[in-house]
Parts: sequence; C-alpha cells; structure tokens
Amino acid sequence: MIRHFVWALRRELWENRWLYLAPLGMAGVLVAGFGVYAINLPSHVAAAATLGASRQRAALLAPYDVAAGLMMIAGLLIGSIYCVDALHGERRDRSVLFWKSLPVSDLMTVVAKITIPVVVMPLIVWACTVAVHLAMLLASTAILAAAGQSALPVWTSVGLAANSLALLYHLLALHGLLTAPLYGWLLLVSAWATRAPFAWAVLPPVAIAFLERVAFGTTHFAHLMLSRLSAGLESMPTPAGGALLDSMSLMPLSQFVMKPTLWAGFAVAAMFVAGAVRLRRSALPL
Amino acid sequence: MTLRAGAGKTTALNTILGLSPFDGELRVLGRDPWGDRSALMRDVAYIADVAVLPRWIRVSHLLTYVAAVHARFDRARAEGLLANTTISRASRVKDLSKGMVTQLHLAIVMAIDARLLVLDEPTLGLDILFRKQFYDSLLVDFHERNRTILLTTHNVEEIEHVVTDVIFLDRGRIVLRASMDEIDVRHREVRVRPEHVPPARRLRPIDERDVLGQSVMLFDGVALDQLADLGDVRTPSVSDLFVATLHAGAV
Repeated sequence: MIRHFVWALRRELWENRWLYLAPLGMAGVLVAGFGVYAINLPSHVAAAATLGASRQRAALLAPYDVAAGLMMIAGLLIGSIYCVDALHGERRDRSVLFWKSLPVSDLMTVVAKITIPVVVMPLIVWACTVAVHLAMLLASTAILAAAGQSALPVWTSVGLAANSLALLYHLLALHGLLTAPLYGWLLLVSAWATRAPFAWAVLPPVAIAFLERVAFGTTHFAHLMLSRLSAGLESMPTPAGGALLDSMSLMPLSQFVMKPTLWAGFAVAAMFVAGAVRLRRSALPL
Repeated sequence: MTLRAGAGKTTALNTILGLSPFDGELRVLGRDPWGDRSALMRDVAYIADVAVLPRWIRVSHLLTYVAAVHARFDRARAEGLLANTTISRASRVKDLSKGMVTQLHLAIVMAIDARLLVLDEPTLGLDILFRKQFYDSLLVDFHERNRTILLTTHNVEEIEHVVTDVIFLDRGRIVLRASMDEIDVRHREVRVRPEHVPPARRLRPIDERDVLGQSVMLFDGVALDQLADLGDVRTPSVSDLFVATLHAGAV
C-alpha cells in the first residue's frame, strides 16, 4: 500500500519533470539576479551598519525575503497548473485506459496527485529556496571579502539554519495544508471538465465573488479565496514592521493544528478529492 | 468476439473491465468489475484500445513502474519479448512508431500472469510477420497457463485457427454463439449446381450469395447426406459465417 503510494508519487515526478525543473530554473534566475544586485553590496552593508540593529537586520534580510517570496509564488503557480492538468491530461492523451488497467485504485491515484502540491511541492520549493539563500550568502561573503568587509552581519541577519526550519514550516503549513482546498478544487475540475479546465477552474469562483458583490455588496467569498491564495498570511499574526521570514515562525505548531480554518479547509478538500475520485472511476478518454 | 463497427463491442468490454457502470448483475472472476476494479486488475490484463501508453514515459520507467505495482508482472518475460523487437529501453513512447508501441504494450500485457487476458484489436498496425509471431505465442501461452483470453478483431481470418469459441455481436445483440467444434459440425457451405437450386432453397439456407454465376448457400444444422447431392460441400470459414450471419440479420 505505502509502496504503491510512493511509486504513484514517483510516477507523477517522472511525468511532470517541470515540477522540480521549473523551481530549479527559477532558483538559477534568482541567484543570477542577486549577482547583479550584489555588485553594490559593500556600500549597502556599509549603509546598513549606520542603522539601528533591527533596521539593519531588515535591510540586509530584504533580498532573501524577496527570493523566498518569489519562490513561493512560483510554487503556488506550479502546483495549481499541475492540478488543473493532472486528471485532464491523462484523459486527453488516452493514457487513462492504461493506468486503469493496473491494480491501482482511483483513490490512491487522486490522493497521490493532491499530495504533489500539498507536500512534495513545498519540499521542492523549500530545498530550492535554501539553496538560493546559501548561494546568496556565499556570493555575499566573496564580494564583501573582496571589498575588505566582513560578511558576519549578513550571516547573523539571515540566520540560515533557524530561518530554513521556519521556512519549511511555513511552506508545509500554509502553502501545503492550508491551500489544500484550492488544489482539491482544481483536481475536481480537472477530472470533470472535458475541455478548458483552466477556465472552468477560475470562472465559477470569480462569478460567485461578482454575484455576491452585486447582490449583497459584500466581498466575503472573494476575501476567503484571496486569503487562501495568499496562503493564509492574513490569518497569521505579523510582528509590526517585521520581515516575511520573521513572521513565519510565529505561530506555534500546537496553535496551528488547532486552527478551525485548517480543519474546515481539510473537510472541503476531502469533499473535492472524493468528487475527483468518483469522476476518475468513470473516466474515459476524451 | 467478432463484430462489425458499432456492434457494442467497446461498451461490452468497458463493462467487463470495470471502466463503465452497468445495470443488472455482472461478475468477472467473482468480482464486481465496477465496484472493485483495482482488485480485479490483479487478475486481469488488457489492452482496451490502441495507443494508450503514456507518450511521455521511458520504456525502462514503464517496465519498472508496472513491476512495482503489479505483483503478477514478470519483468524478465517482458524483457525477453522485447528482445525480439528493436525497441530501445531508453526511448520514450512518443519516439516509437505505432507498431512499436503496440509491440511494447503487448509485451507488457503478455508478461502479466493474468487469469483473464482481454485484447481489443491487439494486432492493429502490426506487420504480418509480427502478427503471426503474436498469435503463435498467444497459442503457446494459452496452452501453458490456465487462463481465459478474450480477443476482439475485425480480421476474422487471422483468428479462426486460434479461437475455441466465437460470439458474433450485432447492434448490441448476440447473433451467434458457438464453439469452433459446433461450427464444424453444424455449418456447411454448398456451391449448388444450377438445377438443384430450388430443392436447396427448400432446405432453408441461412444465406445465399452469388459467386461467378453460381449460387453458394450456407446451411445450419442440415445433415451432410442431404447436401451432398446438391453440389460441392465444404465447411465454411468463420469469416464466411460472419458475413452470412450479419447478412441474414440485416434482411
């Protein structure tokens, strides 16, 4: 059972190599971009040294925040695109007939597919982000050393080890688990739509938000969607003036697992997954 | 099963393989195919349609994956079958020719020790040499193992020396269901001499056609000695019988 599940995940990564190649490419672009920015790093660091401790830290941390944020956005996009195609593509290319000739249940297939954006993607984004941060730190060290400056303030501001753990928690909790309903919805549409699954995935939520605005003058639905899309950042307590990497470690795990929105989200995601399993059962080539 | 297009073959096979829901009662190897598909697939191997192998996958990955999820898949056997082909393990399915994809799929399915093997038009797009090899190995396989093989084809001539039972389907209805032995005993084709045509017709042939000015009639269950005087008697081929049965059904 577990073995079959692991193979199902591996199969997804074989089929969708861009799940890790795209973040790797993004990581390369970010490191190259930082290389351009870092030409002036010695003067930035010198300028930051004149600020107070917390503002110095924020200034030095800023490029690392930007890199992490861009990687996260890329991860959300990749996960969403993957889901929209996951159950539509196999019907479009007729391979669903082959997959269904193997003793792998529809439940196993769909659960493996939603595990990709909920668990695997956050892990890939995490590994790439940590690698980018490390490369940025090493480049900074070299550039600052060439200018005769110490890189110590940068290393202490970034705090790679602690921040990497916080980042992992943030990615798994918010981009993975809290976003599960969104991915579930996309999988359901992917299993249901005969054509244009992307349009079917996007238009109904937009239409609901629009109707709500017109009929009641409120934006609860749109707000709910956006807060899920921004990975629930708004529901996280943010320190005043704190940087992104700081805000991640704030909610203790014990508090996170008690969040009603997490469990409500799971219930909704489970409903969508159950629907997708049902549709997969009768899925035939398009 | 031998059928013409639109006869209901795909629906029948999809139902047997748990791909489509159905009304009424159906058990395949003791299981409900719709409710229990994944368990049923441990004992059933099938090719439901041509070109369904995922185009992105590498041949070696495909073999590895099937070996990982299918307890009855014998990778060595599949490799042995592929050794007769020019398929490279490193290629992706999309880089193979149509015939090679079919060979690959056949190699996988034949390497699964299934109790029921369902092959829907398995030799479509294959050259005559490979077809012959395939049917020979299918026969050997059938005799070596205790398994049922359900095969559909439009090429009746190709399978008539292979099959034990035939079912003719037309527009969702079974129009003939017989073992090959029964067909040998029951059916006779007679090239009737012109002067014997009226008495021959009184014996109620199931089909009559004109071949080079001579009447050829097909009889079901008429004693040989009654027919011997009418003209040249022979056992009809399955394809003759197929055409005759459908012809009769259409009238």
